[in-house]
Amino acid sequence: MKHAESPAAKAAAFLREYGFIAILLAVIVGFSVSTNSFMSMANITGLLHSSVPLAIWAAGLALVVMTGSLDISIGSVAFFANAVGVILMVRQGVSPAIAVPATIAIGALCGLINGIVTVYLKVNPLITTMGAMFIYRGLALQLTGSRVISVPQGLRAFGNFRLGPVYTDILIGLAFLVVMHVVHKKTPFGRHVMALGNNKETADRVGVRVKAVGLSCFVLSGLCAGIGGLFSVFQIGAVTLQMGTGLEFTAIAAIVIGGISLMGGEGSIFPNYVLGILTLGIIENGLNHLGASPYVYPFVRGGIILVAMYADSLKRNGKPRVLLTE
Amino acid sequence: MTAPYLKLTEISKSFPGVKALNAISLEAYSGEVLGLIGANGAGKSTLMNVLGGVVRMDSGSIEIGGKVVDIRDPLDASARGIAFVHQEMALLPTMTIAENMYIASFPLNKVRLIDSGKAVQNCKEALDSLGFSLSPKAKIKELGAGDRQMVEVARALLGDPRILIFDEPTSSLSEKEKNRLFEVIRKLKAEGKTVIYITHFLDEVFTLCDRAAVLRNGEVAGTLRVEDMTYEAVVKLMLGKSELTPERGASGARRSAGAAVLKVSGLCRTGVFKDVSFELRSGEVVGLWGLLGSGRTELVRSVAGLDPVDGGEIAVNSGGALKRIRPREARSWIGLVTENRREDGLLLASSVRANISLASLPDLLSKLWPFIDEKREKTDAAALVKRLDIKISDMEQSVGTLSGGNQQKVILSRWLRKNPPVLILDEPTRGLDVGAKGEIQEMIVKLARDGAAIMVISSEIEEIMSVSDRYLVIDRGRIVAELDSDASKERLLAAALGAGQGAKP
Repeated sequence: MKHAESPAAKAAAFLREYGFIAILLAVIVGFSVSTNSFMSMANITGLLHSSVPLAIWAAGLALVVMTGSLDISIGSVAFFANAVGVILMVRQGVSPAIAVPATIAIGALCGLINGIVTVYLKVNPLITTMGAMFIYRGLALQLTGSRVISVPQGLRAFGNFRLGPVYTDILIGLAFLVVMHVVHKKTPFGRHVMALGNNKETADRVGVRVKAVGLSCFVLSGLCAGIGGLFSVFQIGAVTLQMGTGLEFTAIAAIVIGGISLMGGEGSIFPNYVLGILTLGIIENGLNHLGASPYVYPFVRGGIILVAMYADSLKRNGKPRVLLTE
Repeated sequence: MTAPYLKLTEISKSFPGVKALNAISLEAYSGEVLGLIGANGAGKSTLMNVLGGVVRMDSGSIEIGGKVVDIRDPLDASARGIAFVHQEMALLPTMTIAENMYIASFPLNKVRLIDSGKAVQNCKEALDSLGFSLSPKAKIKELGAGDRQMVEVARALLGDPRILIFDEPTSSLSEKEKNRLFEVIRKLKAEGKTVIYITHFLDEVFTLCDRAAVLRNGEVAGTLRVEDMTYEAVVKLMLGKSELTPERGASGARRSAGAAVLKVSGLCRTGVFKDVSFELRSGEVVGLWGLLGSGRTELVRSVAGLDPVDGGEIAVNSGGALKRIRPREARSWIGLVTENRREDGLLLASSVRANISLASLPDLLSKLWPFIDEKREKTDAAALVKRLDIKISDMEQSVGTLSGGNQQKVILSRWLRKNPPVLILDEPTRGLDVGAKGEIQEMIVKLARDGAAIMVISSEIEEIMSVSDRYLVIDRGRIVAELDSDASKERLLAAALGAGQGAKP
């Protein structure tokens, strides 16, 4: 007896799952033909370089979304954690070897608080993290005195360091995403994340520790925000007042575009999440090369989100595939 | 036969106000399938919850393999080798079969990561041993109900249990899937496992079980060997001696029915119900009588236009003649009060007034076009509150603060406000106290007397007998009998249990 997974059926399933890859390829070809600077090595590494902070920043959020929950505080969490870290280094003279882990720990702590309020106090996650978004931003603005704080020169260099033609942070970002992917696909924790996204009650009945898994995802989301923020700060060289503003929505857009359902229980880091991040990066970069007005970006981004959601809805309402063969 | 593998002695359990189990004693042997039969509320679920460690018994003892055991929680139960296959399946639809089977205990490799190859391999072996050729990588959402049930069975078998309890496992299975499940159960039996099989369907007991225990009001009414079993004997045990006389309830003598207002012919929905035909006439209450899982709720949802149908005709009385309508149009002719009034029907946070007018807002628009004529809305609602004697302090009181009986009356008022020619009530008194029950039942009869055509579904045979002028009996998606108001309780029960289909050899 064989199972109905012929190459053709596999291809069809792949297209349905990742149909937007075709669109993305078309967009890339379009940009490459219409501008001569888009398809250059320098531009591609630059594009990847500028996508790294967001890719790390929102990786934890991707897991939260897969559990069927939401965290819109990640922009503010990163701002707050990094404000503390940079102030420790610049004003208190603390070594980066301590300040950097501290930044990450503060991110995780913020996530823990979000998680406790959502999972244990059962507050709607959108409301919890919206409140958290305002609170952490307010705290950070208070701390920085609403001033831009530059990071020490050495760290700034680290953010834009290259090995040959490749920025090191691209390699670190890639390694980070691979670890996240393995955690998601290869550990019981990762499967339990998907179980929660299916149905928390069922997950509980089959022996998943629903609360612990939900809480861990929020901690991970804060942790990723802290780390992603660090990369952003190293690249820019400062903690700015706008750091992370609106980033939560860009992140959710990337997640949705990548085909991770906001209902939970669907999606992956590779390829879904990574493609979502790259799609946003490529389109903005390409528009930039076309000389489009920056005001066009939000319009285009909105359009892509609607198309992605429509594709998601098609997938959801499609006919079930029958795998049983006699 | 040797000593019983599972022995329950004098198990009792009380919940506040109810004695759910009263000194139940039961034995089950290795290599046998014991059927467990009983009406709703007879204590089947409670008994199984005691065995599963979900509920603790007040007194009595459980012996497994000759040793007295204490089952404190579900983990304890599985450690004692007891596994369940529930009617409601606990599966994760977006995940694969293998992931579902091992979700709580994945095989790990040396670096503590999931060994997918091994999970798939083990899963394949487990499915194969059930004679079952599904890919372990198939996602649950792509499987039909029968295949899902098999995954549940495979998962239940993972811990190599000695006692397997199936709780109405066939309620959503097709004939073919059912036979496959029976094959598996016979195989488990041949391997020497003890199988307890809970069901509503007597023919399943005849084909599958060795013995059957009948529960009634928390007691074992009798245990029969299948060879000695007849429908009549089982029905007698289920009803008990005291209730054997036929009785007529509040409706009294049969009322004279008027013209047909709804005619359903040859209605079918694949896998749900088949070739259903009936008529409803004004001024009569028709009881749609069938057991849970008989397709009764699915049928009325389709008749009322809420679910699709695959074939057949629905005609309604329009201006004196029966006119065929498209199934989707039915919702403007038929009012359906669902069994989940809190979930499907009521806006709990809204006022009594708003709930009553909800289905007829287009009729309530004032001459200043898009606005609701609140005065009329209020007077109409007040008239209904009075007519149905709904106990509220204020028309603006939110429905969530009312008692169950009054909530049910609010829903009834909504449909009376809209006044559709046909009203279908699915479990209209579920969860109500005795007083409220009686009131709703009287109201149903009164509404019919005033000219409405009403169909009532109820799990309680006494209730359906007290309101109905005639009965349609449904069993596994087919109308198997049409009985007059003088039908006895035994007759009704036997028909619903499948006696009408001659399944007994």
